[in-house]
Amino acid sequence: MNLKAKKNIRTTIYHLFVIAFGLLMIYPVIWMVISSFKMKSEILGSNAPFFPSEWVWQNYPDGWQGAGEYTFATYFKNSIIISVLSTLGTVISSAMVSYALARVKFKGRKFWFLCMIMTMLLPGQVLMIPQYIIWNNLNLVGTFVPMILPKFLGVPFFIYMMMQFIKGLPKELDEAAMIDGCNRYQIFSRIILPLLGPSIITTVVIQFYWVWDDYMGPLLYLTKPGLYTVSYAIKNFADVQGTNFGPMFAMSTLSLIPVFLLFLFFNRYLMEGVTAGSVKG
Amino acid sequence: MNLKKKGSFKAFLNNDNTVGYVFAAPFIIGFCGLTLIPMILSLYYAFCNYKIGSTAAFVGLENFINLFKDEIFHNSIFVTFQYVLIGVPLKLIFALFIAMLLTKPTKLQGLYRAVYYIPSLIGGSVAVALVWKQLFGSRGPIVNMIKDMGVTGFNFFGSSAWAFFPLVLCNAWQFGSSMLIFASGLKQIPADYYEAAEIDGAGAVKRFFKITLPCLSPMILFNLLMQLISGFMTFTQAQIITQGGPNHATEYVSLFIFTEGFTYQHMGYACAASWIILIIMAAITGIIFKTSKNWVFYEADD
Amino acid sequence: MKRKVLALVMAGAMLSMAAVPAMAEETTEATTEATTEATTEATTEAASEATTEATSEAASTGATNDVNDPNYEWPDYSGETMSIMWWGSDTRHQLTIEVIEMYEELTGLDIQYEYADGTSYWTQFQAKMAGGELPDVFQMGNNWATYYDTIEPLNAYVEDGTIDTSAISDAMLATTIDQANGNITGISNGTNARCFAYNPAIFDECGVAYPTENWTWDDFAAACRTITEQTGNPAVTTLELNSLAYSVVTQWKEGYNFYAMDGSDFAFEGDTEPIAYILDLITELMQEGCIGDYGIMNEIGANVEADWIAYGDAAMMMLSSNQFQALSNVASENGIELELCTIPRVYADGQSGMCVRSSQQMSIYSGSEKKDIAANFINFFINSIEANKILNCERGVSVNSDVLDALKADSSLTDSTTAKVYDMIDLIATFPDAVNTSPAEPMANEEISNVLKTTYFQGLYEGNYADAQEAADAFWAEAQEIWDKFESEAASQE
Repeated sequence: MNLKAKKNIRTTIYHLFVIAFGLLMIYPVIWMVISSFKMKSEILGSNAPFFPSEWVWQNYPDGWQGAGEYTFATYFKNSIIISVLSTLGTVISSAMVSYALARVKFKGRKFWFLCMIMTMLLPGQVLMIPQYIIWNNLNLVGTFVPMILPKFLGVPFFIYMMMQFIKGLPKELDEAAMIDGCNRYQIFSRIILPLLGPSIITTVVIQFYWVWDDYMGPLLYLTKPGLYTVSYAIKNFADVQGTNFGPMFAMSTLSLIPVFLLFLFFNRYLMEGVTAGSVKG
Repeated sequence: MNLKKKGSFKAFLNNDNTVGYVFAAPFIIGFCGLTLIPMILSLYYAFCNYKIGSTAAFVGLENFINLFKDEIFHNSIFVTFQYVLIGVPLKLIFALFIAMLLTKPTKLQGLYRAVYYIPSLIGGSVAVALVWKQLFGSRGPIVNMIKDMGVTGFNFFGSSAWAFFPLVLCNAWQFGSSMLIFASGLKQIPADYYEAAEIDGAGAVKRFFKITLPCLSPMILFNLLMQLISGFMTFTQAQIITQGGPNHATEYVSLFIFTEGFTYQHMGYACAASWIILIIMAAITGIIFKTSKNWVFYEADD
Repeated sequence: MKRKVLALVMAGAMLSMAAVPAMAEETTEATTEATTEATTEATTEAASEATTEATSEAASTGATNDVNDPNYEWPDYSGETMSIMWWGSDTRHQLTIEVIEMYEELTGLDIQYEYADGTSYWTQFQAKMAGGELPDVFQMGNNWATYYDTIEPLNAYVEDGTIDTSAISDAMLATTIDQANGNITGISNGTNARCFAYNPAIFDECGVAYPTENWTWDDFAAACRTITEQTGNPAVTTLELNSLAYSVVTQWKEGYNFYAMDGSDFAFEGDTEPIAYILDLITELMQEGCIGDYGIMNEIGANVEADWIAYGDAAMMMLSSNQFQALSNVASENGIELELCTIPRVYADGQSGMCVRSSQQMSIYSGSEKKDIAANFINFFINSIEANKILNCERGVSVNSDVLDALKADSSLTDSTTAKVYDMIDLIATFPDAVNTSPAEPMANEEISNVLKTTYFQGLYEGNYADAQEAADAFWAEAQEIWDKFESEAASQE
């Protein structure tokens, strides 16, 4: 057997494995998508068939219609506004703060770093109400601001993540730039920021869906159906008094599409980076 | 004169302290404006009888003394540790495995990654809870398999000893963000490291332990810490899949805090519990930070 | 130079840190003061205004307060706004919004509404309560004692006729009255009752007689055993264990009740025998496989549509009567027709332990500045036949007898499923003890009932107690402890 054939077999096995394992991974998602075409009685129960006996398309228009005067068009619009602005804010603020904490030796750096870690350690359930009161006193409940503005003020998870990346960048880069006459601000914008590319894309992809999936924020701060987000509207299909499973799964399926597309789009850049790197070497 | 002033202003701008505070300003503003007050309030409430909507009455250490005696609280700490100790390594190993599996540059890499990422996208939705209940339910495929092996009457969600298992798996299954962070960390490893090792005749296993792991160590530290923290704070899955049951077996600390604070109206007690958790977490985080100096490798060491 | 700058920055940072909390405290104080003042003022003003308005209106035009009267004059609220929130299912959201729009059209009022599912609602509610900005009208449950301070007593509005209760029986009104002081905490959106649903086809198949109106726990246990033996499945997969225990306490001896009617204390003389009785019965049946174990119950959660009865696997289920419609919808897709029956009794000739209670109510926020508008809306929501034709008792059986008659007369609104619910509510109303078994839920109830369900029922099942009596005694000790904790907390906050 020659080397090429061996390599082909290995590649085939690799693909088969990745595909099989991938299918196993997304089985619950497939279940959800298929359930979005089912009647209620076929979704749960012991003898529920995997495929519907009759494909029910009506769940989609029914779900899209929503409960009141607003349709899912409004909810999607709201979700997109909140997610895009929040993600933007997260990237800008977290990149800045991480640069300060990872590269600049200022007085109080350790203290602020500890504050940041502390922020993550206190269970959010007890901060929820005091934070609500602050926004309420600022008269901002019932707007998108309480959900977006905090993201412009640094998100500890991403600050810390970017810090790890910045620490991985050789210091000689900064020093070389300094000799070339760059000041600290230029070093950030011309050297650090471009090199942070992969972690910025990672931030975008992760933060976008975290905000997209967020339920507590909309529950507390969005006080009118005209402001509801997709995740909140979907949750409202379910209640112990009765759940409209079909429409709920239909809208859950639709709500996956934007995040999935976003991932496909940005992943290209992550991949390009990888291939470029390996070609160079 | 004028020039000199300008110069000193420039120097001021480029001073380490100025630069640091300019760049850290967003966080400092956010922390002081949005987090500090709620934190101080919650610390104050920890020493009070406090029900949301009414005034807080100072009771000293009573909440802490009661927590010390509260078996359900002890149990919730115990089961949280169990969840974290089993769940976090599982998730990280899984995420690293998939990240490495999908670094192979093929045409389908993008699609593969996207597919493996989907589970993380659906988050804590009702759909996940229903599928998980069906998969691990009393008549689900997994229990049926166990039945075929001759064990009858077994049921995950009814067993205090095993109810955590579906939750741990569900958490590990949503490995997307850790995977991405590992993947972008892997990307940062210079290719010539591997080439040099290959020339030296190092095998795949040796390369993994000698190059990949050390170079990835900052990301491992990060993912480890973040998963530990989020594991400790785990809430949604336990709430929607098991509701903390059976017999408090999956009542993790954040669920305990939520129940005490919002359902039972003991917000002061819940705040006290939160601060105990904070102290435990701070100790663990501190230990990890201290030991990390021995195993985390930074390109730019201070 | 460097030092100076540093000192400046640090000082600035510290100053801002110190100043912010202080400022915030001031604001909160100021706000609370302002709100309390505003509230008291608003209340007295609104009350007196409402009375004078109502009297003068009635005198000058001879108009009625009956919204169903063609001569009823709709108030003109154009330019005004009011807010409302509720919890429920998707169906409820749609119906309620439709009724809100109807009222907006009739009066010109602009209503801002928001809604959530039954679990999230309370988180939302508590946040708004903490912020001091609840909506003018909100849906409230039997747990109103917990949120007492936020609720405006409706006595004045009922007395002056703004809220017309002439077609609501005293017994129905009583379901939302605070027995301690006669305050009307809200008007019920509908009544329901905890009862059992059963599948007659399975009973026939197994040769078991249908449950009768006064069947006993022994009958129940025998039926479960026969059915499980024949079908191989548990006969029951959902039981609301805490309320079951409360029912058994009431059935045990005349005069017993889990809580006193005014919710001020326990009312079973510390007699733990009935609790031990039901703990024992349920655990035994569960261990025999006749009742679904905790795994099965947890899988189903409180989700009626997931119960095995809807798929022809289980024969019985415990539920609230207003869940019967949703359950029947799924069951009928599977070709199953379900019936309702009573909760089994301890003695066939003894107490029923059942009650007709308010499923939920509409209440007015005590801090509202639109109380008279809110009261007018509630009057419409509860009494309008047109509105209730849309709502169609989804929240529970209407408390207004005129509305109920109109709905029953309309065959397009009353199918066989709803008729079964009406019949069950009518039947329970004939039980002599039905009026005495729906106490106000004290604040401690949430915790006590949860502890009973998880720690004691499941604990006994898992062998944490030697026998049922030991578990019942341990429960009673803990229930008293919880009760005392709430008492002392309430005392310390005064």
